[in-house]
Amino acid sequence: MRWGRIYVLLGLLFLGRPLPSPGLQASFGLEYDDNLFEKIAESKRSGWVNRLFLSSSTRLLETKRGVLQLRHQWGAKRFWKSEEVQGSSGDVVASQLQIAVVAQLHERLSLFCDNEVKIKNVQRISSEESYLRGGLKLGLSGRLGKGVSAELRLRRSSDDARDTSMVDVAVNGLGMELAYEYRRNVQARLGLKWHWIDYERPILQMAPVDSLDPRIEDQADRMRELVAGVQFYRSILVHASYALLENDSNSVGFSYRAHRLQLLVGRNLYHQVDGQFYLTLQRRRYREELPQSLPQITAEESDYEQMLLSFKLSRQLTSHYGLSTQYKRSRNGSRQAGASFHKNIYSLALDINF
Amino acid sequence: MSGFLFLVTGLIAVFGAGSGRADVREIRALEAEQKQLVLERDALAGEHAVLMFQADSLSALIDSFKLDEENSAELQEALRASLVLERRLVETDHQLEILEVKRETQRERLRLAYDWEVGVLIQRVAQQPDEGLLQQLVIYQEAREALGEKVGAMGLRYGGNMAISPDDSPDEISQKAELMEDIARRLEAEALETNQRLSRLENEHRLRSRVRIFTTEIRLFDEHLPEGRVLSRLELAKDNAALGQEMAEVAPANADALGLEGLVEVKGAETDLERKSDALFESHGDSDFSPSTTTREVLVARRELVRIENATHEDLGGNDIKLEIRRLKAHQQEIRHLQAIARERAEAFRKHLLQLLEGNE
Repeated sequence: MRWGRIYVLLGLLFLGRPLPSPGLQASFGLEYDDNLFEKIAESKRSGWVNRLFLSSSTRLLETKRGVLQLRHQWGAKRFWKSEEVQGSSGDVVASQLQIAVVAQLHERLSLFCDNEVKIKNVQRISSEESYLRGGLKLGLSGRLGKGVSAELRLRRSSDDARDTSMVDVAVNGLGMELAYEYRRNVQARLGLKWHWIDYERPILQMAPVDSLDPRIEDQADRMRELVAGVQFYRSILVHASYALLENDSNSVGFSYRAHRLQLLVGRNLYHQVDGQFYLTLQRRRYREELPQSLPQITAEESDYEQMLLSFKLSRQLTSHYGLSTQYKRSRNGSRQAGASFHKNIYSLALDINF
Repeated sequence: MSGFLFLVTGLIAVFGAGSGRADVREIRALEAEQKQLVLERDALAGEHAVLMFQADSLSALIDSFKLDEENSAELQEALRASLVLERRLVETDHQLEILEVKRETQRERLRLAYDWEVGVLIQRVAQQPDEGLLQQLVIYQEAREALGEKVGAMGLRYGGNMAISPDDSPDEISQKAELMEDIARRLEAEALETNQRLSRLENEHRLRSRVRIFTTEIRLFDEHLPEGRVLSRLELAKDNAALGQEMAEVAPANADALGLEGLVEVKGAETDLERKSDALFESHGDSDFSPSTTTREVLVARRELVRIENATHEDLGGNDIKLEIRRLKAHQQEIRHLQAIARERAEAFRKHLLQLLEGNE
């Protein structure tokens, strides 16, 4: 039924004149995924997925003293193949609404507030998670001198898990960031963040006999994040960042150190054809050595790695329509042999700007 | 930008509109003057309408007197009154014209003041981005656009150097034509430069938008997030005697449902799990795990998406680019108008010069 409505909407989009809605963008695509359900090599299955993404952004209020902005993203993925042998096909629907306010308190000082609600609903796909998230970001941004600015952020969010295999998570955060801009085209940022993450699951604690003993207390993690990034534009847009994450947990086996590297490059290749390259690499190493007498967890399972690489080509056909093709490769999971999934995705999409 | 300011300064000097560096106070003063001039013009227009009505009434009265008696005293008095009315009408007409010229001159000064302030603000924003300055820039640009694009039109009509007076010699007319041609050439170069800059900015804006959409989409579907390890206890309520056999059947199924590939492999699961299970019992010794209990737990690791991490490229900027594109488009339009005016004047001067020279021959 839901898909029926989507097709009607798409029909209207293509047959009718696009509605004059500023900032609305849509992408409707078809992709081939060689590991639909993110399984390890032996059990992976390939198949097709329909994908629809809508994004809109509008400024509801814009005065000298402040801005009120509304952003909304909605997306759906429909799998053509079912995960179970005789089951129905699965789908993922996600929607996120953000309201952002920026108030100019002083010539050099502004206050910002970002309020978001996100819901992700997954049907019959075990590799995806359903949850409802509410979040609030509050911050102060000030200009310290020529090209130098600083930001202080407070964050609070809460995830209500909609899957039995997941737990609820509450996150409180404090962040500080220092930015330097050399003209408009070169920017450098250095930030430090603290996250207090509370999970609704009991901790695992070391017992005297070198075993793990369950306690009633819930897991509470404290994470520190150091981020350094640069952004540059001169006929090519480059955004690169590195982050060091240190997580301390009151639960055995959850403290880790992670390194994250991200690179994003955009460039106009020739007339109306743009290329984008995205790469994220992350390595997470769990710090605590688990008792040797617990053979369930091997040392190799303490090392996790993520890699996501994407190359996208976009061609603007008319002022409203464009075509894009994308290749994505990802790897995610433990570095232990056979404990991570790999996937390759090839997609073709029609992009619409209203 | 500096080229444009040079041109604006040159045109001010040529057109005699007279404007120096404008600041916010000057803009406010000019706006107040504009409002005052509008009020004066409205009052004068009202007075003019009353006089017109009176003149029409008097004209009808005079016609009726003429029909009755051609040289009556009433007719003579009405004719005298009519002359007074006519003089007053001519005066109000003249005053209205003066007011209109003043108003247009003020508008021209206001345009230049806005142009100056927009230029200054853009330079400041380029050096040091600031939300407040950006807002101010938008407000000034909108006010400037609302004033219309008649830059130079009044100057051409009323500016001494843009018109040819009967006293001008052929040399002076030729110099004025050359000046206009020079201005048109400079404007053409400025237009070309503006076009190139606009094209570069539109490319940059498109790229940033594409990248923003791309990152927003993968974030919405959580495709950018890494997976981490979650340790949890798996409770198996089975009799110990049958455990070894049962676990081989139950655990892989559970593992599949919970994504336990990291620990419990389908391939060779029976032997592996039995070994791990036995080791767990041995390790707990006299703790809560006992071979005699019917509920048994194993510690397993599974993969789970880490939902708390955000991408760092949340803000790729670009708001100032939109403003700059808007400003450049308005500027481009201005240049086109100015260029057309300068060319038209140069052509008119040349024609006049030709006629003058032909007349002398």
